[in-house]
Amino acid sequence: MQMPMRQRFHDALEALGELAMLLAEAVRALARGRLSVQDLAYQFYFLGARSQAVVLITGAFTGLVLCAQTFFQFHKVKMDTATLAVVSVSMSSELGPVLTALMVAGRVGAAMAAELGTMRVTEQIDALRTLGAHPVDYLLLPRLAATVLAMPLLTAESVGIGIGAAYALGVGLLGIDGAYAWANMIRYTGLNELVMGQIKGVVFGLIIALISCYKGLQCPLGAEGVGRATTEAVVWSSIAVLIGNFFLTLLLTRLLEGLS
Amino acid sequence: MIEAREIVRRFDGHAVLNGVDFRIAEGEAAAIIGRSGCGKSVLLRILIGLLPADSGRVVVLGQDLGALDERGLLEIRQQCGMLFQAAALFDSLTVEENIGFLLRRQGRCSRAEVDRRVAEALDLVGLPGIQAKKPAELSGGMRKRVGLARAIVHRPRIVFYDEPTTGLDPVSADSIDRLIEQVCAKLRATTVVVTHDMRTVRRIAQRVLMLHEGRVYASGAPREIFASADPVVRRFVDGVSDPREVTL
Repeated sequence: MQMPMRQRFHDALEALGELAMLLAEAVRALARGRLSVQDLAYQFYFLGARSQAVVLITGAFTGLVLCAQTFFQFHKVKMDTATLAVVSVSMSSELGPVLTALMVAGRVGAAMAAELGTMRVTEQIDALRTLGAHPVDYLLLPRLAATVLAMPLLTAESVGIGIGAAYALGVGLLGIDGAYAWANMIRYTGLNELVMGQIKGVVFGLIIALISCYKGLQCPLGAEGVGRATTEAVVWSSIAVLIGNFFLTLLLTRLLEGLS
Repeated sequence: MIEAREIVRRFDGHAVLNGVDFRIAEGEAAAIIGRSGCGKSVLLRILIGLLPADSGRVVVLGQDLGALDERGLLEIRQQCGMLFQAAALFDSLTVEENIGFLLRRQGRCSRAEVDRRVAEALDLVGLPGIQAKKPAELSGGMRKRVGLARAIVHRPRIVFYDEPTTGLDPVSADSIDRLIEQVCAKLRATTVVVTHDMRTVRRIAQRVLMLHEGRVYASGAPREIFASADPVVRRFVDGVSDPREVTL
């Protein structure tokens, strides 16, 4: 029992080291100007445009549920007009970035790991290397850059649609006074919440792309290996996003205090 | 041109290659033969720097591969071509993009020049006009031919072939052998073929290296290998199993 735990700890440390080296190689490649704009544009389209439905639905329904639940509690103490402020702060700094990241990890992270894993199993990555192309330049860097650029935009979109949906529900259906609710929302949602959400989007994008590409590039051979790499990419990314969110919240709350 | 000295490579503690030693001269066509699992493909990957050796020295085109990092190896590999066992064409790219991949990345040729050389390579492998097709639309034999076109379009100094005829019907296998022969004659490149197809060996090789139990067990001209009286070599070239290995 002792040995497997030690082994697991050793494997986890090794994986962390490999992830750090992969990131360092990607940063070096970026600094040397090895990012192809064409590949970046394709990945950005794949990630951004084709994630619209999932991000919009997640954002809208999260905003709706949050609005309804908050309203039911606040209504008891006659604080109906604070409902949108709660929705706005929660969506901007926590729920928007985290839920968007989880959806992107499920949709895009899985696709990245499966694509790169299949390329590894079918020797396409070896073929790439024999053709003088570094897998980091050609495969990792465009995906990493596209995810880091797209995630803040997707997060903003999710937050915006969530707040919009909550406003429509609160004012249109639950009878909250629109003018007061709007004023409270503006008053209690500081710039620090919006900036925090965007920074989280960037960091979560980095986490998702790095872990998913790593799992794909390290995929064990065989069809089973691709399946395992895909599952692990989604699970690891999601866990890393949730753990990272906690530490980012603590850190950014301190750092962004002056902005509110 | 290619020099391997005391190459050792282990997997899970088991030495698949255990002191492999040979030299292949410039322009020579060498076939590496041996039974399945004897380490032929592993050796080929070590020669092109896709796998590191645990110990020993590999010198290719005057460069010690062990002293180079991945980016240094990329430079060496651009002077080599490799045909993979299952062709390893990029699924997401067309035939034209697959074949012109290296030329485009090098950026030394104009678009028209790349197109012309891709068309020339496709003509050479007998598949003119299929530039726009995707790999999924091709048969196994066609994929191998496209893989061959991709391996030679940049006129490499060394071409590696990993079991080029495996999985093909006898007629397709013969046409691939014929193509490799033509490529050898046309490019005058050093050729290293990993195979257990004796017909390929007879047709292409000037020298044969037989791997057995992690080492070069036999080496010589094809006629010497085919005339060998050594029981291990004999059984392999005749395709006869050792009765002691067969238990029912």
